[in-house]
Amino acid sequence: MSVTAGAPFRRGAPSFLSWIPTGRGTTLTIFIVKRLLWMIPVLFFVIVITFVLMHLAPGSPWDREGRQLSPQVVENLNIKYGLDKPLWQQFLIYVWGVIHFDFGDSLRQPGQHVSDLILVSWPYTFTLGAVTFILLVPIGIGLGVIAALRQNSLVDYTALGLATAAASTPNFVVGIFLIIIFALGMNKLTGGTFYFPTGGMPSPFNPFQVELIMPVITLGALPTAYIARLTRSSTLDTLRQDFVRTAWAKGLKARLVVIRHVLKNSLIPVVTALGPTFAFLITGSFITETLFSIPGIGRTFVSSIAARDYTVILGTTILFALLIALVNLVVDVLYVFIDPRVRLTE
Amino acid sequence: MATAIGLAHQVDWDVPEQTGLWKDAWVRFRRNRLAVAGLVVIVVMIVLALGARLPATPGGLWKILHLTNEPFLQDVTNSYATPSLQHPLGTDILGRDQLSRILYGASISLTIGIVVQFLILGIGGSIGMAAGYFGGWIDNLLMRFTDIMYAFPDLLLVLVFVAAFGPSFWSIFIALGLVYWVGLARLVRGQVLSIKEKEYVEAAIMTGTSPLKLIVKHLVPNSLGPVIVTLTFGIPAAIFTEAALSFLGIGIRPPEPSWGVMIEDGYAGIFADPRQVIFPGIAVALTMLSFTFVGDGLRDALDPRMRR
Repeated sequence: MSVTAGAPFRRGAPSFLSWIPTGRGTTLTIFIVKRLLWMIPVLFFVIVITFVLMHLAPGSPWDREGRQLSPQVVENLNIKYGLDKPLWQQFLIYVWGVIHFDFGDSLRQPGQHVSDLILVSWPYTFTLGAVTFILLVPIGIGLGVIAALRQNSLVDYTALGLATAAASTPNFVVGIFLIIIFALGMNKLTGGTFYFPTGGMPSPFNPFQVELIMPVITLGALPTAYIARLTRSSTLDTLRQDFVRTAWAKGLKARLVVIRHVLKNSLIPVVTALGPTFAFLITGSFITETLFSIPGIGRTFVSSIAARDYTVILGTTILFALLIALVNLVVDVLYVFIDPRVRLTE
Repeated sequence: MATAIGLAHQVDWDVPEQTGLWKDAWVRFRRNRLAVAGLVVIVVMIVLALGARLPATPGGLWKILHLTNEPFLQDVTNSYATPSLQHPLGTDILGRDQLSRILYGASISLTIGIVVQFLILGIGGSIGMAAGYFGGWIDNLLMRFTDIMYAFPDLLLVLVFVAAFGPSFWSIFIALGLVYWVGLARLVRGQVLSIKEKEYVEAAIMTGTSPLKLIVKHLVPNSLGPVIVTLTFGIPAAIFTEAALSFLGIGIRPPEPSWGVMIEDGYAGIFADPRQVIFPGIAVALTMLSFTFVGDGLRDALDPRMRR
């Protein structure tokens, strides 16, 4: 009896049918195009929901603490920014602008286009998010795999305990505790010669600045813990599979078993988690940037909510929704390449 | 046939003691020490929070028993006091007693965390149930709507909702309900779809069971486990969101001492007195951790694959 190597069913259609476009490439293209088209109604409804909610809100962008603007001034401002028109007209004008990549002017920062505000604050958020992401994925996966390989050992309990604690401590608490320990405490301990700075981000493009250390830990603690927990449980699942036992039984080296048989399979669910992780990073940036006074998009969004700067809120919300939709699409496409068992059905 | 019955009589069947799903789950839950510890912390917190609010006087029962002070009583001559018998956790910048404020904050966090889950269950449960049960265009419509809601990051949508309703306890409450139902709706729909395929449901339909009875007798009890677990994990998420909103200055407003508000206040004066953030910070983290442990315990206890 002989066993053929490889899976015979992986082969495609017989060669005489090869002119029919049934390849994975075609399916994938159709899938991507469909998903990109689906983004249009999603973004449209994101605009509708945000627009309606913002205009339902009590108060207006012209409210000031203390001295109020005179009614005449308010009226003129409304006319200037088109807020005097009926809501549906404002909405159509806004959507027409968005189609032309015109997100309007900020209501609270006179003379500033929303797109300019976003372009100025984007590099801060991008640097912070990118550094965090690049660190959190390998650390999270590494912790998870090590914990799973040494299940029920001290290493496992420590990693799991840390991950559970990090996953259920709010990021602003993590950030504040870091400030207390590494800024206040170290300042006192070393007599003011060494401590981490508590805020700001002097250069938006430099990923190696000391100012980034605490914000990156604050932003990354929760998603790292999430990835670690997920990797651990999926690695444990894989370790119990028959093919892993076979690999051990064949006398494969431990390194080969872990890398070729276990990791390859247990990382598949982790890839799906990258979408939510990205969303975490965005909402985490609201808090982290506010906490450490980083002038990024998250902070811009939070302060524009408080100031009722409708156009900035809408612009940033559309940006966030678009980013998340794109990342989810990339993750879904990656998934097809990583796991050959997955078939695109949509 | 007769021999089979005869055989059955001869074999000494090792019948395990009959236990129901819930009793079984409770036994397994109790074995998880962390989950039990979490449950104990939560129960203690609920009692403390109730005592801080229940005779609706400032300070509640604990003030009447002279265990704590009043949460709103200012004494600016005694600001940033170090912990003492009078003020076990010290005082804040306005000389208000921190312990009584943290207990008051517990009532806000726990109410929002737990009670919102019923709103989420109502919205998410009925949407998921309707989508899964009716299928067809209703399913399509509801799930596309769910997809759109999914395009928003949670906190972003909550922020927009709270901005729309104005900052208050109730607007946070409603905003959380209107945002966090999405995950539950998807779960319930999946559960209903898989249960619908089961033979016993087919049998029930075949024997002419009414849709209402089908839902109440079969769909609800069989999808209850995962729903309870999801809702339990929703509690720390809701507590976190409320605290984050208040911390960002968009949630509950002072003088009402929610934990988020206390952390925001304390953060402003962190260089003067770090204790102002340490205590409410520990309170939030401990509460969220306890609910996570209970959720982990429930998940393991209610997972039918783990049943022996």
